[in-house]
Amino acid sequence: MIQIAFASGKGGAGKTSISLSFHKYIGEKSILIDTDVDAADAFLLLESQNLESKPFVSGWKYRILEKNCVSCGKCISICSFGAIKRDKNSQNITINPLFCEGCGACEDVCPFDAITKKENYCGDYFISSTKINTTMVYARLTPGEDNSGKLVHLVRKKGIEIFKKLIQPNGYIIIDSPPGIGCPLMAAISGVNYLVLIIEATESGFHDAKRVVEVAKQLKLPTLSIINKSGLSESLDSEILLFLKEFNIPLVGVIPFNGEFNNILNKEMFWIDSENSEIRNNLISIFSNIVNYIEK
Amino acid sequence: MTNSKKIKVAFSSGKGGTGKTSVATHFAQYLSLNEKTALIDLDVEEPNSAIFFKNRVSIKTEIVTRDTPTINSEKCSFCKLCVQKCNFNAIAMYKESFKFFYELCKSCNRCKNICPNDAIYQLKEDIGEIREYQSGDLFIKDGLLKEGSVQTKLLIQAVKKLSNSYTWEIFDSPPGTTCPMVESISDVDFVVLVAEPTPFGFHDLKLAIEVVEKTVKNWGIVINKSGSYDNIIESYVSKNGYKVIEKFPFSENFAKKYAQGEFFYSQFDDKMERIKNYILEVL
Ligand code: SF4
Ligand code: SF4
Repeated sequence: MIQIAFASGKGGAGKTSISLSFHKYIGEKSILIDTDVDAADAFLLLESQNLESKPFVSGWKYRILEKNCVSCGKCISICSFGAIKRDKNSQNITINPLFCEGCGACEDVCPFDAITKKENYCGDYFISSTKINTTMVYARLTPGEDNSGKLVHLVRKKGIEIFKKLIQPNGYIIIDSPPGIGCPLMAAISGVNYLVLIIEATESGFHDAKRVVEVAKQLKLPTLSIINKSGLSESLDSEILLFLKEFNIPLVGVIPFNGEFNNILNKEMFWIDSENSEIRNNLISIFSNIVNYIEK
Repeated sequence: MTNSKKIKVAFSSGKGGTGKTSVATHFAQYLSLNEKTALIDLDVEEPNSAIFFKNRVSIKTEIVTRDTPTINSEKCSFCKLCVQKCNFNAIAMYKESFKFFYELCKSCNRCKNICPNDAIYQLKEDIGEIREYQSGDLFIKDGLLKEGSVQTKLLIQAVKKLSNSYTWEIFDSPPGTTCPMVESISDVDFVVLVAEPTPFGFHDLKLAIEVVEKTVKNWGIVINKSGSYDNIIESYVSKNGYKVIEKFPFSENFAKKYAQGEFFYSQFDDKMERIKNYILEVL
């Protein structure tokens, strides 16, 4: 089982499109896990039928039991997150669920047993069959929720279970990572066998990718790289090459900037199925470079 | 609305890479020509707004820390009450040794408050830094999450606290629809959703709308990299009674300038003026 994650730091760098095309390239020997639980998109192009969907419950939300509460206000100052407020007029105490982190500190100080908790439903995960006869796992965190790291762990765990049931041991788990470098990204890439860094060849994209490299170093992940949208700035392109050399990150391919990519997407096609043979062949050679690198 | 009143506007999008930062930076730059304006980049995992202001001067950099608990073993009776009470399983204790898992700890202080021996005290942990710049008349502030830290939300809260007041406070939100994004739009007056007309962009726009509808009263949509997929977004928008305030075209030339971290929407001052007027009108 080879776990390979595509990450870029910056959003819109081509992560999902490239992961999808790689998945299509590897085919039935692989499954896809979309770990961008904030805004999972891969299913839009890939899903054919949902096989399983289950709620994701994590942590607690606390609430005031009105019948016991005497509005003494002891809980207000103990809450480190400013979630508890007293209404100026009615004096009623309430907990704002958006701010409550579910720590329970308020419960400890309430003399009247007026604070109760409920398990926190914070999203759903989905297992689906795909248009290319594979399986995909993805999830959706409820807007405003804060447990993305845990949900990412869960979809990865589900993915591994399915993989073990369906696929011969030398197959691939392909992970489409969330943007950023925080908790969800780290949950998505930690422990993978390979990280493929997608560097958008723009100043922002390069800046963001360098931060992912820092995180990958801390997590000790073998890293490969693809440069996307190259050719927009020559000086930047060469700066990126220098960086990759300095950090010893193998470059498996370069994708030139081309307005056509969005048109392919708008036809709801995979990049690798593009009618433009240049685009198609370039991707195929990049992907075979990745496979050669991994399987050599 | 008079100029003395503060107006907070957040630029957000469900999907990353829609051009949120481009539109936000240009809008702030445009406003700063005539009014006291601050641009606050809340995408602390990947702050990119300041890059576009080549003539920026750094005014201040400040390390941000948070309190994390630890135990004074001299005072601790190893009763394990803190272990039982921590809802995040951030403390482990075995016989007379203990370990804190700080990546799980939320700094809620419950352990410290509950300890019968007063054995828990706070350490400081670096979570990143806050940076302030001046570019012409524009004040810019952003945060840089330390690589390896998971304290995105705390750092966003720190970046949001401004010491001066501005007529316009323009926020560049982090991507997504979960906690960091909601944190960035809570208590703003207006949210501009920047949408990219592709199937992915459309789907993420719908998620973002779901969030803004719950969180703020006033909001509108700007379509960026306008193209063949616009009509799908526009018919959805008009069917639901939403509003597309403005559209920005797609051009390879813009992409080039963007790549070099240069301004490219200066020719769109009229569009910026219309966005501004729309916001003022609604408020
Ligand atoms: S559980 Fe914690 S975060 Fe929630 S209201 Fe009580 S003290 Fe505040
Ligand atoms: S501060 Fe809160 S989250 Fe951190 S260890 Fe103590 S009880 Fe657990």
